[in-house]
Amino acid sequence: MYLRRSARTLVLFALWLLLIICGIWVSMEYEKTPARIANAAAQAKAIPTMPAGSSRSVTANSATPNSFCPNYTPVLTGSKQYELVMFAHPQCPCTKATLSELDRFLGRNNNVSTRVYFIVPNGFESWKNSENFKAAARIPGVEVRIDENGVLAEKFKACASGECFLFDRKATLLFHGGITVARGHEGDNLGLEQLSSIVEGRSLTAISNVVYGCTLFDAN
Amino acid sequence: MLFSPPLKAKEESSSPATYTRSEYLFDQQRHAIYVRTDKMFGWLFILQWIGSAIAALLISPYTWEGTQHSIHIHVWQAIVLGGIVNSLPLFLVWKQPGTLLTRQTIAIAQMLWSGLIIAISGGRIETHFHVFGSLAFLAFYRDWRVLLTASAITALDHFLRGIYAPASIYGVQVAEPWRWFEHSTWVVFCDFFLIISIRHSLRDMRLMAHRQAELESAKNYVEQEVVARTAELKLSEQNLRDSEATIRAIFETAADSIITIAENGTIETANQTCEKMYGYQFHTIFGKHISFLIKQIGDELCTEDSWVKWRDMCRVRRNALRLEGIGLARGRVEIPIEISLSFVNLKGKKLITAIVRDISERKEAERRVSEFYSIVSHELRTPLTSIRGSLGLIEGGMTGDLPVETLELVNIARESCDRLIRLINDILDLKKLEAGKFEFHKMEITPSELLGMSLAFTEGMARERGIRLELGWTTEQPIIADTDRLNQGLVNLISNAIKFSPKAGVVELSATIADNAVRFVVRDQGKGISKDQQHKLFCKFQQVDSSDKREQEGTGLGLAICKAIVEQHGGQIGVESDSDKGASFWFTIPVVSGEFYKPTEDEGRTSYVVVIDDASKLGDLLNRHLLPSRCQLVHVHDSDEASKVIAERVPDLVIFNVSQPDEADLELQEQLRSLYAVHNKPVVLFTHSTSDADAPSPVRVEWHKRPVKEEIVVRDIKRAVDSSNCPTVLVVEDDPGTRKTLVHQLGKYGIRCLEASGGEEGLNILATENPELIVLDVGLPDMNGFDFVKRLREEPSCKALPLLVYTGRDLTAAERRDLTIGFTRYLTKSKASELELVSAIDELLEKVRIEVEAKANS
Repeated sequence: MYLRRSARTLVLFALWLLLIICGIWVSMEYEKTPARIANAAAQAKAIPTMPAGSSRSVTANSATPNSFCPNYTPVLTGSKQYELVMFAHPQCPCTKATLSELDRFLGRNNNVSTRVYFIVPNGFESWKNSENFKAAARIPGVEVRIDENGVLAEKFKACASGECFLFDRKATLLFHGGITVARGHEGDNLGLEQLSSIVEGRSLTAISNVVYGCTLFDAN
Repeated sequence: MLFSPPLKAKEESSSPATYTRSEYLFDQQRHAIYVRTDKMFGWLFILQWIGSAIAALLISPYTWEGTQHSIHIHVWQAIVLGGIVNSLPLFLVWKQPGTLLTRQTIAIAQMLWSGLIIAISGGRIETHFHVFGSLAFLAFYRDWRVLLTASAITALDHFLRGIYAPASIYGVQVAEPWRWFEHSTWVVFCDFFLIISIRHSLRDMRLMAHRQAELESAKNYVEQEVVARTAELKLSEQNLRDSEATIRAIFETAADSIITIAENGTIETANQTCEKMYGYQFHTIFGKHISFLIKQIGDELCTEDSWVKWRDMCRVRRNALRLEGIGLARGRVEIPIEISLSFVNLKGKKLITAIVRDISERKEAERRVSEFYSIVSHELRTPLTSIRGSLGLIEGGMTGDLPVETLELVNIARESCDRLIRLINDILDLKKLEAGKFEFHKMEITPSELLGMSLAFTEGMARERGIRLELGWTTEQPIIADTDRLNQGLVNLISNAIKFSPKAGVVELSATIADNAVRFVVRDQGKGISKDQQHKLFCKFQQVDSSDKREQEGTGLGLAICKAIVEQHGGQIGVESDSDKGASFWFTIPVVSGEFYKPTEDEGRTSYVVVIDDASKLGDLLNRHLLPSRCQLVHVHDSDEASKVIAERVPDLVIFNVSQPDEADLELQEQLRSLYAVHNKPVVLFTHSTSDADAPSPVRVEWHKRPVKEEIVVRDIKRAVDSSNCPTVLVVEDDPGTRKTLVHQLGKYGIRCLEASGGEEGLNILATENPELIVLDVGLPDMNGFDFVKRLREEPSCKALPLLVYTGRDLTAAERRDLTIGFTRYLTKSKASELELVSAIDELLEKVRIEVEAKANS
């Protein structure tokens, strides 16, 4: 009786552990999954630290001055050497982490002119008062703009919330990608490190990084 | 040391039972903590589950694709994964609370929750505090094993996620390989302090359990003691109640009334007997003064003032104060009572307890017994007195010379009569002494005087038996005593000493001061008394030799009477003796100060007596006997000296006792003869001659042949002293024999007697004659002595007559008062000798004479 009970308890315990492990596994897989970015594969330059098996990883294009938005001209005044353009979904929960990382980045680098475009589709004007909008507006040095129906985003071929574009005075695209380590995760990450090394003059190489965020446009 | 169980030294020092109990309490408390903490974690899991779900829903409810959204994976994580994590521990908390498996499962689940929250928060460093909070929470179990499990899970989680998803745990895409170790070290650091805390906590718990066990043990002991003491107390209370009920029953059913009285005299309690005796219900007498029930205590009326006196007397006495009195029953009916008062101090409450006994029946019985004794004494003593007096007269030759054989028979009859009289007197005396009815007439007297009297009574007896009486050291410290009674006791002791002394023996008398008392000692040289016989000497009818062969006669009452007399004087009596070494009988009389009658030195010394004696013994003898007769005695040793004394003052009496008279003595006799022919004064001569013819003829008075009897000498001397007049005495006596004897006895002393056989006859004689004195018997046929005296008081010519009450009854003080008229004396027939009778008459006549002379002079 005791043994049967112990065995039953043991089975129950093992089943419980198995279920937990599975759940954690699924969660981790989701966390590690970046958003889909258009044309990324053709322009990307290999990034050594990315997991080798990732089929959706984005690579940077080091030779192309602005292959995403060729007609875009950055407006730089004063001491600003670079312009950072970020597209964000007003409702994306992962973007909070991106804004936090942006805040941290701008705190260290004041030579970057930053514009954050929130894509507001027609009929969703209420998104203009979203938490992400307010959070972006609170970051010093950030110019928050509304991208009605994502017109500009489409020009930039931006797909995911939190997707950033760094230009220099010559409108050369120096960086493209996300600045968080995973979905909604703050903390040191490769994208932010790359961005910092460019604006701090430690690297001149154009770099691309994966973006963890919600998709900016509907699937169809 | 760190993980070792708490020290048990203190516990081990206690008893095994206490140690076992403390271990049980400790385990019980731990289990209670386990169960309680399990439940707390159960609630925490639910809270974490709900909280994380709410947080996920608030922070990241949806994931977006343009305008399309779906449930965010964080929400699913919180709800589904959190639910899975919660499922088993909640099940175990529900089914198996307090078990190790439950605790360990909870520890694993809680640390998984930490990982889950960290993951949900995106690896925020702040959420790592959940790990430490969880450890602290797990420390509530006070079981270091769950901390180890939790720490191991945390380390494993960090390790695996550091490899596969560093961002989810460290917030970086690439984590250093050792970073899990660093995190784990911090967890171990935290564990270190938590385990120390757990250890201390367990030790405190064990100590508390031990103390609780000791407390319980003490409590059990105290409870057992309380139960035992309570049982004892109940038993004591029951005993007390029984005792109280018994005492109450005794109190209520006591034959005597028991009354408790407050110090101020108010009645506080009384028993049922009191109600019956007095006829009052208790509530009617409660609070009233005791004088409501007691009219008289002793001879004093019971009042509020007198009560204070009785109360104070009770306070200072150790024993109860026992007195007779008069009670007042319902209807103010007087009842004779005996009351015992005793002082009681009950824890500060001072009470007087009065035990009152109705002695009506006893008084009646006493009255009847007294009457019986009165009758017996009268009816026995009167004929015996006659018989003895008659025999004495016959023996004295009044009826002429008797043949020698007849004289011997008469002598035997008289002596037997004397013994019978003594026996009756002794029995009656003892009865009165024992009943406390004997009335003592105390006066101041010195031991030497008392011993002198006793010697006078016993010298003759001693001389007859060849015993020498020696008077040793004698104190002059006065004592207060009834002279006659104490003399009776002393004579008894001396008589015994004479009887039991060998021939030519010596009896020594002494009176010394010892312990504020005069100690009289009579020492003989007899066989002595063994120790085992001494204790019964003073009992009634007890004699050392009670066999039929005993040598000495006696009733066996003498020493019992002595004891009673001495004790009535507040003294003690005893004997000290060893076999063959004689015996010393002693008694003590306390020395007391007070105002008592004492004759003055010169009172009554009207007769001037000269004693011419060539030996000193006669002088001493006469001095002793003539002192009470108020004679002034001058002792000379030869005729020349006598001539000088006589020339200075003519004496009333000359006693001439010269064994071998010479010429000078014969001349003196002739001189005296002529002298007394003129002055009519008597002379008493003693001679060794056997023939009256050879003797010189005195003026009057018989010759005395040697050896002379002391009482006869004294009698003759007294008669000679008072022979100047021939008094007339009225004898009122119904018994002819006694009357005749009296007349003859008094006639010998020159007293003329008028005879009356009853009261009326006596009164008739008084109407015609003028006797100088009346001798009255109390028991008369026509009227008793009291009525006779009452009649005398009514007669002016008679109310000052001296009276000698001569009766067979022992008179009480009240009876004596009723019989008193003028100078009155009281003699008991058969107790008083002929000499005492004459002396009493003489004394009364002398008093009258002094009074007459005093009136004439004034």
